[in-house]
Amino acid sequence: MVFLWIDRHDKASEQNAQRIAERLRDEGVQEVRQLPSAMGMDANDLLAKLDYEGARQAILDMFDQAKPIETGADEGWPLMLNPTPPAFPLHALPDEVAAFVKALSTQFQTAPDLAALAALGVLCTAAMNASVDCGNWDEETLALYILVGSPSGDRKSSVLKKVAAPLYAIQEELREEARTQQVAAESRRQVLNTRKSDLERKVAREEGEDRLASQAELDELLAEMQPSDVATDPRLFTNDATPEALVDLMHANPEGIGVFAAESAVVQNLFGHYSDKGNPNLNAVCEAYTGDFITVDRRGKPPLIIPRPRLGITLFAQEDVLATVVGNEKARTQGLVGRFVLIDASPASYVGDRQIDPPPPKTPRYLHEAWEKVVRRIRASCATKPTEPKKPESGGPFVGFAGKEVGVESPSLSLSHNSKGLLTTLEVAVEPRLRDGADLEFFRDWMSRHHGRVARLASTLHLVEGSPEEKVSEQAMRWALEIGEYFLQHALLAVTTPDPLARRANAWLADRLREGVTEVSQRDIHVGPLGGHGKSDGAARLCEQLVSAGALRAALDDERPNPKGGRPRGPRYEINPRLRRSDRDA
Amino acid sequence: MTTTTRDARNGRPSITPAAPYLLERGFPEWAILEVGWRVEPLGPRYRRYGLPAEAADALVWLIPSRHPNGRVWFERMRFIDPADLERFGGGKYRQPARDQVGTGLQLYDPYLLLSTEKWEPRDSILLIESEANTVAVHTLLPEDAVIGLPGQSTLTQKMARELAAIPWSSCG
Repeated sequence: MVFLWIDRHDKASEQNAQRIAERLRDEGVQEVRQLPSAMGMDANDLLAKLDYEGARQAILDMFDQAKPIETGADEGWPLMLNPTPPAFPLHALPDEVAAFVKALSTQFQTAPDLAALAALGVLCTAAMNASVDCGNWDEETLALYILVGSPSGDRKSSVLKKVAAPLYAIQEELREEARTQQVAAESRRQVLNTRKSDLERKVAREEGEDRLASQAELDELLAEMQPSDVATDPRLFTNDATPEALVDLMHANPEGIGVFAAESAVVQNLFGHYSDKGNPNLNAVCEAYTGDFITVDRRGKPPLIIPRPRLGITLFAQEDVLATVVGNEKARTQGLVGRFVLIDASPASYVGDRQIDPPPPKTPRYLHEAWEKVVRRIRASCATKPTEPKKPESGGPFVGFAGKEVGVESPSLSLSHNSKGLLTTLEVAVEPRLRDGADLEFFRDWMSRHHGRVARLASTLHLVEGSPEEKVSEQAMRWALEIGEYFLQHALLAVTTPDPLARRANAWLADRLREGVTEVSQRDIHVGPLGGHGKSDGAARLCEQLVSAGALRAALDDERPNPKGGRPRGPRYEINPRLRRSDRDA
Repeated sequence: MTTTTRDARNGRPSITPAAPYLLERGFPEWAILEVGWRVEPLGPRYRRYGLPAEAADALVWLIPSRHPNGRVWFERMRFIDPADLERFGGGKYRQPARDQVGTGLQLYDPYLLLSTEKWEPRDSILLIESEANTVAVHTLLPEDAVIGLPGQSTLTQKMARELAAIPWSSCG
């Protein structure tokens, strides 16, 4: 047995102790015990400062209290992310939202992640017209871009439809109201046109003062005949649109437009499905996320100017779409990937374990009603409100900062002292990890937007129970931070292991570790993650992929012949012990 | 305090007039003698440690490192005066370059526990950071086996192999 006495007990020193123990074990030392701290002194201090017997006894006591250094089985293996990302933290949702999400998940037998993410998408769309001032000249819109990968047949369409139902209802009401207004406007336009024709005839016919009077009346009428501001077809959301159509929708709906889809058509459109050369068109979507001024000049069409675009995206697609987005170089370099919440809901899927008979209970009506009430209230509180127009000092129309038109005002939230403090703490913690060579350097594009995303989320959750006039509460920020961590873990996994098959294989290997298995054969991989499908070549390729990703390494005794004789054994691999499962299955 | 004691192994003065420094650190004379520590001006040895000529006057703590065969392999040195440490930079401990002594960092084993001639089954061994702590523990618990990591460095795989080679009496 080796006793180890290290002077300091900070993290680096403890890691060094782990390394020492591991090396000793590698060489056959069976037990390594670490002595506790000597009251902040080293052995020489004890000798110099205590009397002989006192110092001697102190060291003997330390030997008695020495504890074995835990097996550092991870040593020598690359770091691996948890292959099973965390479950959505339902406790980080306001009660009425969480109750609806739980009930819907039970009804459709889906992981709560789907309903929860759909709910966040709907809430953000309802609140999208508002913005939040994060301090330091940093203003964020409340929109979120959410992309959820989930297996086929996971009932994601049904969940999305139910959660987005209030938006559909509000949209239909707005369209009905617009239709009524349009009929009235059309009638009025016809009356004005008739009067205009009469007046034009009079002006042409009359002379002198009569003509001047008719001309003045006609001028007044023409001023009255300015284009109607009645929306022709108000919209809150769409399921499918090209990038160009999205710009048109944002222009026609200045309070914002949400994209809700359970198919990947929007992604295909963004990546150039309708482009002759297949070129992605991501500019407008990227600019809309930050609420940047959009101006589009197209040949043969009047320019489209959108001073404060608002766009939210909630896409539930097949898991391979997640890989497509993450793997698209232009989407990564242009910052689209960094703007998306990337969730892999496949490991959480209930498919195969769903309750069929008796059928699960339906979501009670009162929960649907409560949910709709929340969405309506948020939308109403974030609507654009007229304000007293300010007179410009030097004439001419005055346009405020960030293209805000004076005369109308969209709500701008601000953070409370405590919530701002929590957000700053997050920023301070993340910043050094983005440096060159730091662990999150490769993920700068996403991490740089992380605190903004958390601020957006906090503001939206605040609006569930609060109002835009109140400062974003500390509770809402704490919820948002927790959900933000869930976003982060998923996004890291989506970016580092974009291949769904490799992700599944990692999760399968983690299960083996949990069962105490530390080594697998190529055949195990064929039967396990591949389900026995395909030829052994496929398993060999997957093994190679897992080895290069650090999840497996060739077993040391792989070269030994089969002790039972006969055919040589297939390749065997050790499993990276850092592959651990989260508490999702606990 | 000054003494004229000589090193039992090589007959050289082992405690110089500067030895009070070691005594003040709590080491008894017998313990200092046993391991052959000395405190003296660096002198012309400065080249050996890659130091400039100005370092010759610096008072240093010389720590012999013994080969398992019992002979002094090389001497590590430590500046006594913090001002010297600041003046010449580098780490607190220095040892001759590998090409001069044919070896890099070694376990500090003044009691020759790694010597195959002295091998005896042991229940346990204490591994501790730095030479000073090694001797301090031996002073307080002379019955226990202790080996030091040089300075505050980590244990290399080669050192681990040397430690593991000690015959263990039971479950080692």
